[in-house]
Amino acid sequence: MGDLLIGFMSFTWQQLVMVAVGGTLIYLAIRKEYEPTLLLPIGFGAILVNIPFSAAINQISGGVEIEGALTTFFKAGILTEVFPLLIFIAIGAMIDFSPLFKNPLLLLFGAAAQFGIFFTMSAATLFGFSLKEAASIGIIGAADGPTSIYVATRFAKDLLGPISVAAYSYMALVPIIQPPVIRLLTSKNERRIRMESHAKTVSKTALILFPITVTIIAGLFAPSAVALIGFLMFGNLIRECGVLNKLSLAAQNELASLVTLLLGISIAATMTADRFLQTSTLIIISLGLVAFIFDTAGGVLFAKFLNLFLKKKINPMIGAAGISAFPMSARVIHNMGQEEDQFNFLLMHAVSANVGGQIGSVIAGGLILALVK
Amino acid sequence: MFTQETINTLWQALTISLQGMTGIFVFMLMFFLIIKLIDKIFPKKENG
Repeated sequence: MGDLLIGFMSFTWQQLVMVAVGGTLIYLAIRKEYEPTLLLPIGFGAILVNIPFSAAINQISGGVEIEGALTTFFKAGILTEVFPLLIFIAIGAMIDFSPLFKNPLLLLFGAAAQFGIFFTMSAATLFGFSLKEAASIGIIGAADGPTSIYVATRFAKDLLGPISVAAYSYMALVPIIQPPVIRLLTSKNERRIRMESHAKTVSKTALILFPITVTIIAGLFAPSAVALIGFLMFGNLIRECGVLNKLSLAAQNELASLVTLLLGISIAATMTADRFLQTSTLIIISLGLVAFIFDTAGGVLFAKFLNLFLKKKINPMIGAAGISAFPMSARVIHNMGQEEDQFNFLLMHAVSANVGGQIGSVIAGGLILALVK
Repeated sequence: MFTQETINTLWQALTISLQGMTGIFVFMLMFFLIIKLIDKIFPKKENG
């Protein structure tokens, strides 16, 4: 009888808190639909690993360490970087680069809106984090879960849980985070600026050559970024080549679904109470918000700066769409434009900046890997 | 208020931030040029 009750008897309040954290993530995923594909597996995994003597993670029995299934997934899929890279293939297969060909200048917002990454990295050092930990926290601002996981796996494995939770939660909260920052930095007149539409079509050859050329150029300048950008572009090549439609659809659907499922639940292997219930978790989650705010500000302010020199002004809200949260950020900007002027259609431009943000976030991840020693 | 080590780490972070932001803009400018070039060499041919 005592053996059956050992789980109850050993339950600590910290584990109970973690079960509540898991429950909250599941609630947010189901009721609020905040990134459910990731937050639900992470939430359930958090419950799974915080049950006393859970066989889902490593346990010592009779002096022998028995490996748990989630630990095995974590080692095989995350420590080896396989899961994030497979997700990049899926994302690449989902991205349509043709909006960028219509107005390539908007690509630059994909650079400006990465400002939050570096601002947060610097801010994190003031809280006593090492440079590598600070870089992993800053990369939450990539607004791109797989990039955050990829960098954190290399630099700060112990912080992977809070970093992933922050990255995916704030991506879901983009419609709440971005509008106040944009309103603070722009006038009503600026938000009403209309932009010309480009009805141009793009050749298939151009769309095929783009991922290949970008991989070669990025690889030559920053070899450490080549896995990130290369897998993304490989996925895109599958999509654009026109002869691998079955593989493209499989990457966009089955591969994306399966790996996302495993990625989420594997991350939870790091969410044991002793690792997660730290002051650092609260600081990381707060800094994640700072990263998203300064990403938005960076994009908007860069657009205002460009407007000083441009004849045809850019609606500065477009700058905020330079983050990687696709297509949510583009939709937010379009809706904000319509609130100010119902005949202002910003969606196409915002999508271009948003696609630029997807490239920019991966490049930012690669550069951080190259620069932080 | 902050230890010398924290200040040193902050300084490193600021240096990396400057290099990182410059790097991203350089990459994006290169991609901008690639798009312009590819689009010029392989423009969309209209049917008919």
